[in-house]
Amino acid sequence: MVLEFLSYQFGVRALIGGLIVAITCSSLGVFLVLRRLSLIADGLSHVAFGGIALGLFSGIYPLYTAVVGVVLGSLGIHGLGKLRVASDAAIAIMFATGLAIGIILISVTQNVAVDVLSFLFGTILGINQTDIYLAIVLGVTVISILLLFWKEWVAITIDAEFARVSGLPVSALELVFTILTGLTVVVAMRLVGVLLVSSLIVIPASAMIQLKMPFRKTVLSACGIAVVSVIAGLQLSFAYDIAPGGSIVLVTICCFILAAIVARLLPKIPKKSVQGSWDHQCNR
Amino acid sequence: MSLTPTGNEQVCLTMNNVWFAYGANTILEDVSLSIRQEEIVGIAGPNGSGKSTLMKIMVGLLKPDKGTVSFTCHIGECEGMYPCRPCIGYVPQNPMIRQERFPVTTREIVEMGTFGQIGLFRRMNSDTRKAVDNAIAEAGLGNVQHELFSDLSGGQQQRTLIARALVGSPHIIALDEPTNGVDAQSKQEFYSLVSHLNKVHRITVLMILHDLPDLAAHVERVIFLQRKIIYDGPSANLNAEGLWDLMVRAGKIT
Repeated sequence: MVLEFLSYQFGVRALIGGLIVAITCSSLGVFLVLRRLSLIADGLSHVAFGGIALGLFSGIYPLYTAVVGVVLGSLGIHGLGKLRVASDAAIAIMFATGLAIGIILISVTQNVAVDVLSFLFGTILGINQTDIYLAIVLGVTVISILLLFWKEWVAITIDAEFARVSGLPVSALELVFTILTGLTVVVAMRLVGVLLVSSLIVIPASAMIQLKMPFRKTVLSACGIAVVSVIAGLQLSFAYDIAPGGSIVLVTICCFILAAIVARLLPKIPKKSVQGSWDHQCNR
Repeated sequence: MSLTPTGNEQVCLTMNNVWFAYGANTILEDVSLSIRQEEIVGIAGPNGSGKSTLMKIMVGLLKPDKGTVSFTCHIGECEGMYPCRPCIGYVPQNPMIRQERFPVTTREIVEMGTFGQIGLFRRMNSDTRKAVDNAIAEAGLGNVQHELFSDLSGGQQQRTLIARALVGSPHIIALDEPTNGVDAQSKQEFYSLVSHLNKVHRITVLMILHDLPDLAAHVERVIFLQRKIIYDGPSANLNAEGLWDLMVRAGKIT
């Protein structure tokens, strides 16, 4: 059988979780990469780590506290932006805050080393039914909101200043998008771990942006690359007994290299001349 | 030297005693002006003189610390409203989409000009698609509408951004340094376009310009800023030397 891992219940769960993560991460990733906010996923994953540590410390299911953590982290990044702190500095501040809280809480909590490692490096083959339900709820929420405000996200990504002049509530939409990114990070963390979570957001998007396609096709193809990477990565992990998070990310890296080669091989498009001008064609 | 509108000229934008500062740094100081319908107005001044800030206040991107801005748009429901979104189209100086490989087509950019009027939760309908088709056709961009914006020439990119600003049928268009990075031929085409929009479509044009000859040749009225308005008058009364004197008085201009 080609996909051996599907013969096992845990393999099916891993595939479902993986596909949700692949689609949410890669579709959000195109917007984030184009807006030069790739690091926000890294920042929020470390904020989520603080939330997980709080869960381990308090006995609450860690992914629930991680959700609370990333929402607070998103508000923090947005609030620092309002105080005119540069976006990269705001992300770095929340990154450090989440990590520091996580380290302190883990240092005062007994016997959590294994749990912490599973969140740091991901345990997609060990995800349970609760993780799957949470992934489905968060994944459907993220994709639904993404589609609901699709034209607004596109407008803000293309030109936030023009979107603001047009009357779109840019600031509120940016906050919602940051929260969506945080929720996606929480779901993805279980798959590839805190340390690699941003790679699923950044790499498929960066790979497909190179191919110079229209916006919608870029997002769809990034989703396609991520889905293929998750399936291939899981199969490689199962076949060679290697860490699934690492194998999935390495497959995305291979896709990125392949896309870079294809992009270089694409023929240069000559600049087309404009036929006619406003003076001749304008008939309003 | 301020130009005050006469009785039969309809004012479409008024700024009264506008002040603006970034922290302790005052950018605009007691600026008052009126823009009349169908004028072509050039805004000039040295770097840091407040030109872009003034334009951002006009289009509603920044709110004045003190003073008032009002539109008289003559379409009823937004009389006196600020910012009056349907009244004014904006062409920013250097949007991020100019970067290479930004995956967005010419058409997708023009479509964006309709989003504010469509509103949240709604999609483009046949009317808005038709408006986009018309704007693309009028701008002569039909043969490149599915090309990436970053693959277009500087002149074509400028036309695309102007088409986006005009797709919602505003009666004022504000352009922030529209001729930056545009070659001589495209610049000439741009000024023909401005003249056409103004004469045929009766659109009021506000643009920030640096070139002295361009100000003298293509603009009816010049507002020269250095935190406050130091000249507001017809460009026809000023030869290049006169403008140069103004620039020297205001400090170095680039």
